[in-house]
Amino acid sequence: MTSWIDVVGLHDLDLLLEEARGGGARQRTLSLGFRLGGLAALERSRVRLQARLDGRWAHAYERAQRRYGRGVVAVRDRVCQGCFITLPTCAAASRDSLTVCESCGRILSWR
Amino acid sequence: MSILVGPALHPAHLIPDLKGHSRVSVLGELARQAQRLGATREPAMLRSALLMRERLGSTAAGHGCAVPNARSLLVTRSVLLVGRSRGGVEWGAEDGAAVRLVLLVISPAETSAPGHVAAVAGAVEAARPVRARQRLFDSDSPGEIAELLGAVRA
Ligand SMILES: [Zn+2]
Repeated sequence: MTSWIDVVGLHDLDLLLEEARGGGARQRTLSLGFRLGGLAALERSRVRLQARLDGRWAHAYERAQRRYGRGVVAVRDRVCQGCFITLPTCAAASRDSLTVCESCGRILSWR
Repeated sequence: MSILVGPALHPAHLIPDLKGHSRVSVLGELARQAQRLGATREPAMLRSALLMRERLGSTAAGHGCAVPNARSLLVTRSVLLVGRSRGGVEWGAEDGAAVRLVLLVISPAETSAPGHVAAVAGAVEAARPVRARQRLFDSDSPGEIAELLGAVRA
């Protein structure tokens, strides 16, 4: 069963990989003198972490990631921080359960 | 972009004597302090995100400073925390120096990659001049520390 921890872990790893793979953030990090030699190991960690997700959640994550650049978004004050729709009260399940925003399709993080 | 440190550093943003003797324990200590400040509700998972960043490459910036950092869903607002270790902590630094000054930079997931790295760069550059670094190691004045870190934005 897919856990909330795995989904959030995958999301945060993707944010880190976004900084490390290329573009201005990578160049700026290197210019500060930091080495990024662990990139290949983190790419392997991503493969392992993604394999832990059930098919349904892996699919939902990758679909939102491709479409919006982020597979998961935070919920603050019952508002999806991806599409800014106010979520129905019944959507607020337990903090550990996985839910998808019915408006934008992103996986929701209620913490 | 907002300034991470106000006109005076709030005392809760400074840990003058870190208890941890390892990178892992210091990151845990800082994550728990971030929780006390209301910047995260998940200190254990924030520590994991910080350790993931260390796996990418050490965040030691040389001369006894480190700038561990994370962008995470578990962070609710950008925060800069200052930690000092009297004994120094091994941090995998290129120059081999033990880390005595830790500048933690955490940003919410909504922060852009360039925005987060700019905040990290601000912290690294604030501690780069020898005199400023020495004051960050030694000063007990929240006003002076805030002045030294005043340019750090997220
Ligand atoms: Zn949404």
